[in-house]
Amino acid sequence: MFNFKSSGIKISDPKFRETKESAESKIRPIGIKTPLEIGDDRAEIFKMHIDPLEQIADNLRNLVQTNSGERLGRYSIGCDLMSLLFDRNSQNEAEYENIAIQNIKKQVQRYMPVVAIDEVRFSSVDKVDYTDKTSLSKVIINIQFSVPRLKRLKNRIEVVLYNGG
Amino acid sequence: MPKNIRKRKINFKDTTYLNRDFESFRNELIRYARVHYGDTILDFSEASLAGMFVDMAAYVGDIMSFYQDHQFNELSLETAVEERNIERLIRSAGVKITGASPSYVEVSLKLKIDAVAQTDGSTTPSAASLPVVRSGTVISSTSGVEFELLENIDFAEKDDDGELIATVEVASTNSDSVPTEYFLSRIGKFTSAKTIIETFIIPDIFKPFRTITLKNSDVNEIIRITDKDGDDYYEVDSLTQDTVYIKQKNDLADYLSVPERIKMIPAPKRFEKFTDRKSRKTTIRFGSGDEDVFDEDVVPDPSEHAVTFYGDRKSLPFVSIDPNKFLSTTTLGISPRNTTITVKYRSGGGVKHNVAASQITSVKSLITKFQTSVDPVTVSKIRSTVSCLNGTPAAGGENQLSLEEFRQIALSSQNAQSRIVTKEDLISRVYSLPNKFGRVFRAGVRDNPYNPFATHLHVLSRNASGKLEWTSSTLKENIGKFLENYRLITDAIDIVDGVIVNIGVDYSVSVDSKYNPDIVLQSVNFKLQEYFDIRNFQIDQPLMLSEIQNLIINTEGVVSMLEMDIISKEGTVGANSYTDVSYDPYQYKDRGILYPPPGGIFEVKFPNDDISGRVK
Repeated sequence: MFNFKSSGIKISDPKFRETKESAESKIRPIGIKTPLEIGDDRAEIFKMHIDPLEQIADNLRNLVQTNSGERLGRYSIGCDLMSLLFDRNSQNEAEYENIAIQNIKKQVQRYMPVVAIDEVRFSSVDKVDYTDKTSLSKVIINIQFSVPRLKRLKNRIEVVLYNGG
Repeated sequence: MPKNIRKRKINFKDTTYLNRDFESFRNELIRYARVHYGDTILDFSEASLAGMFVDMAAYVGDIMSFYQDHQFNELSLETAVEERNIERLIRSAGVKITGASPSYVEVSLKLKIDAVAQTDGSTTPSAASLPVVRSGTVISSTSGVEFELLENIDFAEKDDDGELIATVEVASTNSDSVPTEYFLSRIGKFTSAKTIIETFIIPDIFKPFRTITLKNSDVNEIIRITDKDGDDYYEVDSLTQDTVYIKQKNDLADYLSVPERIKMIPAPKRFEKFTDRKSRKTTIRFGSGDEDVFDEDVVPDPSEHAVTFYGDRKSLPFVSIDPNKFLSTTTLGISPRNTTITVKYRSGGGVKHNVAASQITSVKSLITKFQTSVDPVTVSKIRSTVSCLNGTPAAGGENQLSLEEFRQIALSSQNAQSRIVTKEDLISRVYSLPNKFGRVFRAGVRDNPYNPFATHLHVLSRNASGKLEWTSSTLKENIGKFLENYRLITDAIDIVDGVIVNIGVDYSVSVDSKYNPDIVLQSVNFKLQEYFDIRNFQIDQPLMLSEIQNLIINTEGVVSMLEMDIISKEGTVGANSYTDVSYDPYQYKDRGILYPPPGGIFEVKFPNDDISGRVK
C-alpha cells in the first residue's frame, strides 16, 4: 500500500521558513516609476513604485500629459490638453478650463476607474523672461483625487503644461 | 517564490498561437507577463508605463498578423484584393485577359445579274459575270456600326449537283415572262471588329523576349504576323509550345462536311500575346532565340557558356555557367532582329455593336473580284446592285469583362484541365474541336479490350437530313491531330467509328371503344417518334424497355399493351437503306434493359416506317 506520509512537502519545511530577507522580498514592485530612473541597490533596473497610491498618481499624471493619438495601438488614450493649449487665450480661458476638466474626468473614468477626481484647478504663469527663448508661459494643473478602494482621500498631483500658441 | 515552482513555471510555456488582433495579443501578453513576471511588476493598466510597453508589442503583433494574413490572401485567387495580384493569378490560371469583344452577324448579300439564254430557251444567271465578294468588304448599320466580311463569298460556287449555292430569284422578266435579270443572294459572316495592319521596324540588336505593343485597344484576334522575309510568326499559348496547328483547305470528297484539314507544323518563329486590363492594349512577346545563332546541339555544351572567375579562387571552381547564355537558344522561339514586323489584327467591339435584325442595310466599301472577261461597265453595273440585309441580330458584342468577372472565369477554369485525363475530358475535348475542322455528332469512350493503355474513341456524324453516318476519315484525322496536343504521353487513343444500330418498334394495343383506334395509334407513334429522336441518344446508351411500355400504356385511349418488340433493321428494306450491323435484341437484353453493342448507338432511322402499331 502506498504510504502518503512519504509524499509532498510540509509547509514547515525550512525552505519555506520566512527570513528577514524573504520578508523584504515579499514587497513586490507595482510598476515602473516615471520619469525613468536607474534603480538603486534593489534588483530592478529602473526605480519602481511599491506604494499603490504613488503608482496611481504617476499613471494619472501620465494620462493627463498624454495627447490622443500618441499611444501606439490605443489612440483614444490621453486627455488631449496640448491641442487645447494652442487655442487658449485670455478670452476663452474659462471655456478652455471647462473642456479640459471634462476631458480629464472622461479619461480617468475610462482608463483609471479606481480614481475619483475631486477638484481640478488651473493656474497660468506668463512668460517671465522675454530675453530667454526657453522661458515659456505655462499652465499648472492641480488635481485633487481620491482612491476610495485604498481609502486614500484628497491626494494631489501637479501637472505642468507649456503653452504652445 | 519556491525554486521548484519557478522551474515548473519556466518549463510551462503556455503559449497560444490563436491570437490574431490587438486585443487578443495584449491580453495574452499581460497574462504571460503576470504568470512569469508577477513578482517584478504588477501594474499593466492602460495608463501605466508597463501597459504602454505591452500595447506596443501587441501593436507590432497585430500589424505582422495583418500583413501575414494579407500575403496569404494575395496568394489565392478567391481572396486576393490587390488588382495586380488578381491579374497575375488570373493569367497563371490560364485565362487570357482580353478587351471588348466584337459582335458577329450573318448578312445576306444580294446582287442583280443579267440572264443568259440556254439552248432550251430558258435563261439562267450569267455565271461568267458572277463575282467573288472578298473579305474586308465593309457594310454598315443604320446606327453607324460597321461590319467587315470575314471570308470571301463566291457567288459562282456550285454544289455537288452543279447547282449554284447562291439563292436565285427572278428579278425581272420580258414580255414573254422569260427572266431577263436574276437576284442572287448568299449569306456571309461579318464581324464588327476592324482589320488593321501595323508595321514595326526592329533594329539589328538581339533582344531576348522582345515585345511590341499594338496601337489600337481591344485587339481580339491577331490574324497574321510576318517579317520582311515573308516568314510567319505563329501565335502560341506559351512560348514553350513549339508546334502549332494550321488549317488547310480540304480538297477531298468530304470537303462539304469537313471544309478544312488540320496540319501540325513546327513553329520556331512564334509569339504570345497578353492584354493590359486597364489600357486594353495588346503586347506581343517573341521568343528568346537569336536567329543568327544555330542551335547545333539539343543540349548546349556548358563549356561554351562558361564565365571565368578572376582572382585567387582556390577554394571555388574556376568557371561557372552563365545562365544568360542559354536564353539565346531557340528553345523558346526566335526573337526578331533587323527586320520589319507586319502585324495584321482585328480590334474593336462592345455591347453597342449588337445591332438588331434588318438594321444592316448599307454597303460602305465593296471589294470584289470578277473574271477578267467581264467588261468594266458590267462590273460597275453589278457592283451598284449589291445590297445587304441581316435577317438575324448581330450578337456576341460585349464590353471588357470586369476584374471580378475575370476572377470568376479563372476560378472555374482552374478545375478544367488542358489535358485529357478522364473519359469526360476526352469527350469534351472532341466536342470542342473548332467547327471549321468538322463537327462530331456523338462521341463515346470505351476501354480497348486488347490494350490496357489504349482507349477506343467511337465517333459518329450526321448527314444533311439528320441521320447518323460514319465520320469521314478527314474529320477523324483532324480529331487525331487535335487530340495529340492534349493527351498524356503514355495514352493511346484509337479513333474508330461508332456502331449504328438501326432498330424499329413493333407493338399492339387494345383501345378503348370510345376512341378512334387510328387516332390512338397516331398518338402512340408520335410519342415514340419523339422518344427515339436521335438527339436523345448517346453512344453506349441502353434502352429502357419499361420507358417505351410506359409511353404506350399512358397514351390516352390505350387500355392495355399486348405486345412490344424491338426489331433490328439492317440492309435494304423496300426504299429504306439501313446499316449492315446485325443485331440480335434478345442477345443484348438483360432484365428489361436493351444494351447496344460496344460503341453502339440506337437509331430509329425512318420513324414513319420503323415504328408500327396494331390494334387488337
